[in-house]
Amino acid sequence: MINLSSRFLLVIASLICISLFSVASNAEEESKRLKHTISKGSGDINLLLGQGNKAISPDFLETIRLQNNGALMLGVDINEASSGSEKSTSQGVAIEELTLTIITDEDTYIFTEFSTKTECSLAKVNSENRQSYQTLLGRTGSNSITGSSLNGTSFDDTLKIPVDIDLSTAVSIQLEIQFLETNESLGDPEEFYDYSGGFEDLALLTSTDVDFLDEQAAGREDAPLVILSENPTAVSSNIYYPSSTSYYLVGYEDQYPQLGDYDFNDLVVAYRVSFGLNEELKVITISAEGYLIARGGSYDHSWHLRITLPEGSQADGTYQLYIPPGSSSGNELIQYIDTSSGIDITLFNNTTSLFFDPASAFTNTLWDSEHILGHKFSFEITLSNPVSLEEMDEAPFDPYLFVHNTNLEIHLAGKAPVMDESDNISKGLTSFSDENGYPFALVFPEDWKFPNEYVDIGAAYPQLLEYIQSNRQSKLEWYKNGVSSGITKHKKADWAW
Amino acid sequence: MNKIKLFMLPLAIPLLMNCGGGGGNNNSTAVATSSTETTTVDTGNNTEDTVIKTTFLKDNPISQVSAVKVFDNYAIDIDMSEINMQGELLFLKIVDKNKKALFLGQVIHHDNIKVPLNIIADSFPLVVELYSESKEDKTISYEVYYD
Repeated sequence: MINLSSRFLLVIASLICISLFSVASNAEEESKRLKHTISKGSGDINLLLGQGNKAISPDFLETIRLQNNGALMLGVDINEASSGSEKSTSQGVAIEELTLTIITDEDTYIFTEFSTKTECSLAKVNSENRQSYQTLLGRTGSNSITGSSLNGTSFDDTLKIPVDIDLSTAVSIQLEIQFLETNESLGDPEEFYDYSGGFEDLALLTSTDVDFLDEQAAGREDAPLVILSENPTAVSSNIYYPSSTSYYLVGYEDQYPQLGDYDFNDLVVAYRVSFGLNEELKVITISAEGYLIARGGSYDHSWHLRITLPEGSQADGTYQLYIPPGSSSGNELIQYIDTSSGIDITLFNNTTSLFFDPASAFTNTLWDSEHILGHKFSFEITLSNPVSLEEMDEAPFDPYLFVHNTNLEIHLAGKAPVMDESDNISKGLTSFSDENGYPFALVFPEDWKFPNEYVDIGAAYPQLLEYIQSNRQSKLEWYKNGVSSGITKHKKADWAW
Repeated sequence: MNKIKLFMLPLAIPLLMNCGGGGGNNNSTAVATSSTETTTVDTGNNTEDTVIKTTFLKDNPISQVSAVKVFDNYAIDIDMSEINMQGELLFLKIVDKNKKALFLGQVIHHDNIKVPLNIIADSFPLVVELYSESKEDKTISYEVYYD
């Protein structure tokens, strides 16, 4: 019996030793953040010096080189100022050149080959000729690597440098890297892939963290003109409505069928949509994002975006609602979208409880009101079968309002009611312009500033009438010439958070 | 003068009554702008009638030839048969006059590409660029004006 107990204790002790040894080994093989960073597009990085001036052993680099199939894998935290279509959820830089210098006891080795997961055709500053460059993509605060010293950091993308020598005898490993200064005057994609101040943090990655970051593909979805380096991408181009960097503003009169004060601010929403196309120029993804901007009515609404699809189309994806900083109304949520009858998503529900000014019955429409940030949405939908552009619904699609107080839908002129639960059809309210041709919903460019409360849009924009009466031949810039006392002082920079 | 006031009264009443706010109890006043003009027109029978002209949309019924719409659908046709590039990858970029991207991406050599856009009248001229990944290929660029 004693003998059995002794054996049992011996086994337990052995297991504990093995576990401790394993923990020690794994600790040695965790990714390591480097001390040096890339600043203003260039970096001179000592790969043997970690964050906090901690030395990194050549043996560690050799271990992860072997683990990554003969390559040093660096994690990069993209940290760029927004320009072009860059934003917090998608930022990018391009690498112009890179030199890895390894000095061992015996010799000096230079490596200049490298690769990333993505590339793009770009023009360098002062040039309009484009060529392919490897790119790095990311987004703000994207990373959630756990179980390593990178936990809680925001590393985004990976940089691969093939190295075919043993690093365990290295006495110096120095990386010089230079980002591409793009010709920003060309707009996107150059403006997107420019670099700003940085700093870009770097880390030496284990294969586990490489897999994690590569699978995460931070910022890739919204980046322009992404070419996958290893596999041909499914989405090879995008059409943007109204453009990659701007939004439609849709304003409503919620007293429908009455005209109300005709200030088109009872609800104002910004939105944009892009179609992802395959090589055959067929639509395979639909994505959209937008913001609540103003609510100048006391009625409660739900705001929908409807994009019809050809009969028999199948689509699925996800919708996300984001709570603005400082707000406690509504819940941030992610919903699964599954549709076979076109896309019709309630993007902002119950606007009075979602978007309110504690000091006023209206939100952002009184001339002296403080600005209240509205909620944000995004969705990404994948079509099971590609759809030709000719078969797709036309922009600006069908952004419509359901007014809970009246149980009526309000669409753009020319659209028809679509909800079974609304009273439009039973009350004969199926047209969304009145007998004089007045609409109850209008889509504007993002430069348009909605009228202040009670100000008729024609008073706020005196050139609008001539624009309409000339059949849109004159006063084309009417929306840039509002009467300052009659229109909101809030700008895009205020609502696009 | 009294006649003018009588004409203005019906205009002012709906402005004050039909507020989209629908019951808001805030006492802040709107900073309204005056868009009302008074003109005297000769009707041809030696009497003069006074007509009130405003820029308020709801005071001006919309004729059948016009519509209250800002964005238009516009399709760009690009003949790809004349494109001769050395590079393997061909890229198409369409931007508006403010360099905002309307289309961006890789395309294959179709005979013809038709790109449906939704733009405002003052977006023109649009700029179409075709280029490849090869630095040997010069970017083909041309402007598109409203047709």
